Amino acid sequence: MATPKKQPLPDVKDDPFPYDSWIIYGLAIIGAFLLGIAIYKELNPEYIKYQREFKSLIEKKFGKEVASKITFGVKQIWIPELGKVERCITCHMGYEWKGLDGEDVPKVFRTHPDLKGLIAKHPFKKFGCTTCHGGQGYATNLREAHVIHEGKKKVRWLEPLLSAEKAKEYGFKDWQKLPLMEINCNICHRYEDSVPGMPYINLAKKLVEEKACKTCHIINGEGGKIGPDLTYEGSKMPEMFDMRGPYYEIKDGKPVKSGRSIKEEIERRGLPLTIFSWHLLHFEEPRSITPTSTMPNFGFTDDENRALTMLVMSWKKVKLPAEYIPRIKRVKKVEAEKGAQDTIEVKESKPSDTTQMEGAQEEKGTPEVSEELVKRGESIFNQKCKACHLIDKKLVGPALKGLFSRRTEKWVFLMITKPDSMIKNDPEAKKLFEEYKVPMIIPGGITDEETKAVIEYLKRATK
Amino acid sequence: MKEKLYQVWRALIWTFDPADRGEAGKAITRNFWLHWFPPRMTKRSLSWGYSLWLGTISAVLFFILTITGIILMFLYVPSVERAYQSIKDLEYAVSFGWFLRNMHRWAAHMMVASVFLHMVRVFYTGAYKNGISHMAKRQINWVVGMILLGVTLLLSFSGYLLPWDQLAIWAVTVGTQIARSVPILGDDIYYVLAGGTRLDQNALIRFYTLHVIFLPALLLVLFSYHMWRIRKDEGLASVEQEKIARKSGKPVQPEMVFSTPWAVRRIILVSLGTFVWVLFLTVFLESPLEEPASLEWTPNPAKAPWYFLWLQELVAITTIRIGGFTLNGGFIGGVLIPAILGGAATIWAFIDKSPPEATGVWFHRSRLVQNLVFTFFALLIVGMIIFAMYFRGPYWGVYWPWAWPELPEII
Repeated sequence: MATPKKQPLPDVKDDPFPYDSWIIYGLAIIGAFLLGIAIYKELNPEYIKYQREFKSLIEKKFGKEVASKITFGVKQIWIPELGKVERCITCHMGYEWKGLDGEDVPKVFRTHPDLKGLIAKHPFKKFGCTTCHGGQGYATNLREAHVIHEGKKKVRWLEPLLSAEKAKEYGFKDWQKLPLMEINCNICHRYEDSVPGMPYINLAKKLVEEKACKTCHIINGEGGKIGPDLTYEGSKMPEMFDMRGPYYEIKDGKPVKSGRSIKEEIERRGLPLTIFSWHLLHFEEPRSITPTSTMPNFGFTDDENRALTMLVMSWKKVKLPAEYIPRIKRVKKVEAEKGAQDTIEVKESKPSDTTQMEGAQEEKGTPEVSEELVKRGESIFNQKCKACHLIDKKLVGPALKGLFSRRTEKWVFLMITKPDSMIKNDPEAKKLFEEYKVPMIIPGGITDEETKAVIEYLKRATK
Repeated sequence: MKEKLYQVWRALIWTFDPADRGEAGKAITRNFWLHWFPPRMTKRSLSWGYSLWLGTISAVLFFILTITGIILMFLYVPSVERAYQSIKDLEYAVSFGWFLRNMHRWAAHMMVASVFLHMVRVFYTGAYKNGISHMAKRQINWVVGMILLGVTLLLSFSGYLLPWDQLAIWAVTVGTQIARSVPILGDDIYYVLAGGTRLDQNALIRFYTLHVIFLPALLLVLFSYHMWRIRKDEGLASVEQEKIARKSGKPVQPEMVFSTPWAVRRIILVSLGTFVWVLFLTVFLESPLEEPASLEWTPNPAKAPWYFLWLQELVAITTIRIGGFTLNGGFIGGVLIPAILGGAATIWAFIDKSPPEATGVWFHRSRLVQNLVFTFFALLIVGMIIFAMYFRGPYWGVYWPWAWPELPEII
């Protein structure tokens, strides 16, 4: 038996791939280096320097023993009801500390103002930080947490930080009070007419009532359909605003292309390119952005513009747990309505003699018009007509100056009570409709008696 | 002295020292991890230039994906309420969470690319041909490879939805709507995928299960078969060249190399290189995470994952508007053309009748025409992907990448 012949091995030094080992060593070194970078990145997050700074601050102010209780790492408030995690306090460590509200404490570490008032009503544990301030609660670095868009890469986050600096950019005089935060207040306080501490939103809500926005717009699910539904206006995304479109200027009452785009106009005014700025421009003159818009220029002041912009931007689609919805104090309004009804009841019985329009026209000489009737007409006019008609200015509808020199009383009466059939049948009304493109809509409707009162008022006011 | 030093060095780092060729071979066949390699291989099949090692790279990437993926399964919650939050936690709160996520993401993108390039390499080298071997059935492995490419795409696509951000939900919306335009079965396919009429919790849990169990298991089975077939087909196709040379009477001995240590070392090298490359991307590039998913507003434009962008581009091109009438390109561009291309590529291994000499060699002259046609389509696909990725802006309009219209911020 022959033992199988053992085939000799080729010499190990006859390496067919002589560089492989060296490449492996090289790769291993690069890999180790890269792993080192990864570990360094993990162990040195951006926030750690703030935490060290805070600790030394506490040491200086309150002594070593107090400072020793401060631990490093991610800190957070978790609010499962809102699905929120607030890691802001990782850096803003002094928010609950007492005695850190002096000017000598860096802003990051200062105690949150008004702990006994506002915060007692809105405790951190229940509301967290971003619910009011905006910004990104998850993030633990400055750029993402504060949603800073400087540089090329955008931070993808829907809730901007409602900072004082932003307010300053829009020209708020009280920018240091962070007025923009009222937008977030109104997410919960949406259905209240007036809430202390929200001057801008309160003003805007008053304007919405005064100008009868609901005549044309659906707000909170009710209103007219001439303008767009505004119930969730605040949830509109940047994609839905085309800033490249032309910006119009109003010349002789007609919108004329200014030669600038909306974007250029915003930049020209030194405003940031935002949805907020778009609304400011739009409230200032709706036709400067949508030339065919029938929304009137109400001549708002800058403050009113900003207030209204904040209000529409607060109309967001947000699901709120019931415990977060505030009690709506409607007492005042109900009383006011009651009062109004009372006066109507009292006055309705009085002018019954002159309600027949046919007869009224044929009557010779001016009939006895009571002061009360005129006053009532004025209040109804302010309530139901003024949003579109002014005496000496064209708005949504024509100016009313000298109304009765142009039209008969009967014509005005029919136009108010039956605008649809008038537009169909009356040539004058037809012409007006073609010019103004909006049929007359009266919020809440109007009775013949009320119409009569309004006419009596107008007879005096339009002379 | 030098010899002595070398001996010490060897004793320290490589104690395995086979006495003869038989022992060297057994080191492979008796090792669980290595037994599916032959004891010896030709030097050409281990060279960089022939295979580019793309198959190994893909396998290593799959290995990285499995490891990181299993750890991520401990940290990710597949529910619409928590999915997005758990990704944010990975980014900001979990130790090395960003590292895991980046690595998983980059390995996934790399794998799609490397599997595709592997397919391209196999085509150009005619490696699905049998040469003069009677045993080999390499066409089968080509078909298996095409299925593996499909499974890789599906794995990536199903993983795309999991972060539950705007990028995820809209990319998957585009993808699933393309699937919906399959005639007759389209709605059913969509319903099976999404588990309902819109992408919601049901879709998420289905994509999750596909992503973490079903597709990886399928891929593993097919991969094993893929490797087994290479052995049964007598190695990589490049060995056919050596067989042909020997048969023609040239006194050429194929240059054989022991699998251990030379092939094993090279595998370690490629694995390490792949890992280091993914590590590099992981450390220096961030993974995007957009706003939380919302079907109420569409990002403009909404784009499919990059490897499906050519389909989206095809759908856009084949969508024809005549007046108010729109002929949706979903079927032609999204289903028919890719099905024809994929189908033709898959059966091409059986149709290609080029001579055996064209097996296992780059760009053989006899395959010039088919190589050109293949190149045309491959470049077309890559070109459409690049075009759709960088030149398609809002409303799918064409823009220079640096001249995209600027979107306003909110406040």
